[in-house]
Amino acid sequence: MKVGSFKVDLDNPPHGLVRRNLAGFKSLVVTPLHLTDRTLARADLLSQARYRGVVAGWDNQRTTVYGTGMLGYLGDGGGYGAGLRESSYTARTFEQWWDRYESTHARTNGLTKGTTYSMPAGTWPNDATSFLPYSVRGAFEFLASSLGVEYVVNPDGTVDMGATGSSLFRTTPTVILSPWSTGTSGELRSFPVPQWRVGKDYEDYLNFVRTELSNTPATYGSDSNYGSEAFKDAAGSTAIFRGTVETQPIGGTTDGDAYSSGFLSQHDEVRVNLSVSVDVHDPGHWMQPGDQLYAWDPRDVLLDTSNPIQFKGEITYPIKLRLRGMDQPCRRGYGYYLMSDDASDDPAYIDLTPWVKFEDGPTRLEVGAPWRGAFDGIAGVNV
Amino acid sequence: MTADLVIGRVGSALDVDAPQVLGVSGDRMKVGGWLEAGSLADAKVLRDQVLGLWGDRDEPIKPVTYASDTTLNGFYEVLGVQVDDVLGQSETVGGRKWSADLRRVPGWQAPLIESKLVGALRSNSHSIVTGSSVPFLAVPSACGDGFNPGGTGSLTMGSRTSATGGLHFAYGANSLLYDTIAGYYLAPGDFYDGSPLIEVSTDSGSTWRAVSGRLMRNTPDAVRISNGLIRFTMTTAGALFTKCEVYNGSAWEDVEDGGSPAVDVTPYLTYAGATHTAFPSAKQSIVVEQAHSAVATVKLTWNLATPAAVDVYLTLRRGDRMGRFVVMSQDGVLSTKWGMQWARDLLVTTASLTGGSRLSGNDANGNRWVMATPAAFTNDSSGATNSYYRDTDNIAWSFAFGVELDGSGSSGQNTAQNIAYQYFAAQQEQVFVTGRG
Repeated sequence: MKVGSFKVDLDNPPHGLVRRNLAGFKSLVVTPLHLTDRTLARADLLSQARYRGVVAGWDNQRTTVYGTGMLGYLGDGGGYGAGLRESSYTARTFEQWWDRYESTHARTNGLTKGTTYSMPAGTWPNDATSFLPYSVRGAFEFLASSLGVEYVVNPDGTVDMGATGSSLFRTTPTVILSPWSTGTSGELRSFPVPQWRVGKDYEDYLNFVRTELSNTPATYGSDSNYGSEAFKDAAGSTAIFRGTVETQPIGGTTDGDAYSSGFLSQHDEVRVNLSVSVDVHDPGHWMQPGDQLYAWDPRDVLLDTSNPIQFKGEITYPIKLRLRGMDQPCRRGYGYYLMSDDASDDPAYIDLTPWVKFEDGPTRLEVGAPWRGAFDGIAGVNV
Repeated sequence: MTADLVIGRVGSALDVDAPQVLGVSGDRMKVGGWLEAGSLADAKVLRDQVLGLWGDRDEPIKPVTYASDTTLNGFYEVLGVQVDDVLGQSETVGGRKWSADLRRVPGWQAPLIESKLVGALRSNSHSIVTGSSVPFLAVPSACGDGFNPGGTGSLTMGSRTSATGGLHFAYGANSLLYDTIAGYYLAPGDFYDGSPLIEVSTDSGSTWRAVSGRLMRNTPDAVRISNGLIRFTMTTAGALFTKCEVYNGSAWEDVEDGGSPAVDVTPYLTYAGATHTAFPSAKQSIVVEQAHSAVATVKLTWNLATPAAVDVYLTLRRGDRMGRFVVMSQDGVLSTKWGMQWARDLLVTTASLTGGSRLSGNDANGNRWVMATPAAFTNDSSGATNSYYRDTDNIAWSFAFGVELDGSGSSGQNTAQNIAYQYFAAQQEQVFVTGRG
């Protein structure tokens, strides 16, 4: 899961109340409405939170505070963080690995297992010579990609997890993105889209993948799929677009073939790029990264005639896309708070809202094909 | 008085008086005139007509005809409109100035017009398959023979006569019209032949004013939506519509419910299946959802006693002999067996169709109403009143209500079963006026 980031600018806040208290590893909490009751307990504030980030730094004489999402507790981008400790590896499921690092080794820095949705049965590793990346965060990203698991951290620090395609995220969309119509129709909701740009990108297209194992390059697996688009080369014969990936040991040729198939299935369709932003207060109420959305624009390629959906009196044929990220400006109307890192502090938080430099603009959505997992990279691919 | 200047829907006879072209500069044209109305309420509707020209998402380019100088006829984009204040206007004397700034499109007198069609078989519980559904495309026959349906595949070219002009009626029980872009050329004066038109009345149906764009204030006394083949009139009272009319080629005929004495068919919506719990006796609102030259949709809203709010969409498409209705529970709250029944206690003989039902014998005007729905339904003749309702609970109910013109004497694509099969082709059509092709 991408860790995300935040940055909040403040306009001449007082030293005593605000600036002196800005410090690393406190939390920046955002609620959909400004809660003016300053005596909420920590748990109550977090139950109302739409977002919680970890302060990783301040700037501009303590008038800018920035940081990462909650996954920052497991490690930063440089691979540093709560370290690993294993001398040998027993095959475990993703959930078992999480339990081990949360309970046995106590290396998750306060993140605890939340709700588990249907989890895959796969285990890792397959042989005793395997190793994991250095930080806990890297380790879990690797395990999640390999085993087909997704997870999301809630503001209260619990981590919900589920197999790709489970009900961890919405698989039946309740939001439809379209430049043609806004409003409500039954369970579907559509928002104004100030930015709507559709493109199609053939650059990352592959129809042949070979997977080599980093410890034994002579062992490899492969898969190909020439039929899906049947593009032709310069002379009119079937074009071959080939990719080679290197992965950490996952067994033998059979595993290599399976790995190639997985990688190929993520690259053998032409990518539709949709640059879209929505203009609605608190879009997080309706959708979160990981959910499926509908997108509909019959002028372009955003239509799927096998998917009839009733919307505002007509049958539309939207495609399904996955919401992969949201980029929201700090708009007026939300509540912004600095929550103490010490759970015993009373009051538990400082209200920053009166000094926030509000920004304008819609929320930018990052959408992608439904079959892509919520992860940035593929397990073991050298990025 | 016939209209001299017509912009989009504004300017049909008597609506906008004494317009003139105020100036032409480059590709810009400024037009203006006086709004003359018999009452303050009427004046406000005329003002809305002019204001509705601007910012019309469904139809950003409007056809313009000017009888005094036909060399200025063409298709224009509306850049801005201005109307003087109507408050304080005396009831019967004087008028208010209006003006509009227009910019002509490239290829302006005869730009290429494209109808983009998207669709598929309407999922249904009657075993109707794609090969039985009949997608169609209706285009004003004023385009002559220069009509290209796009793509390959065979189509049959028929015709339908609407009150506003003849139509080519192309159809084919194949997939061509489910995904195609058809191109044609039309003179601006023919652009709205057979197009769905929404009108409002401020005097309970004596006079009607066209609605321009989506600008119709909520809630008018009476609303009428027509595509020249079939016409529905609605008020804020509880009936789904108070009158349905069909065009017989030279005049409008009322559609009767089939009983004796002959009475206009007036359906009411219900829910809870066989219990037939009626919708309230007044609508909450009537608004325009979309309106362009191929498709127009109005949305009627009721607040039920349950409580729940229900939206009912009525869509008319050019060339369609049926109005397409969708009953939709707002926010997906109420899941029930939606239904409808006629106004008076009456049991008439119906005949079943695949996917629907129709009046068995011709009504007093020689026509037969037709109902079609993709859902499994019950034709409930257990009580004294003809009614239909869904067999299963759902937050929505789609159905179509239309007319078999000439009843038992109809033929070809105009028979009740075939117009129902046209309904089972769920098509979306959007019209684009492009630069010269």
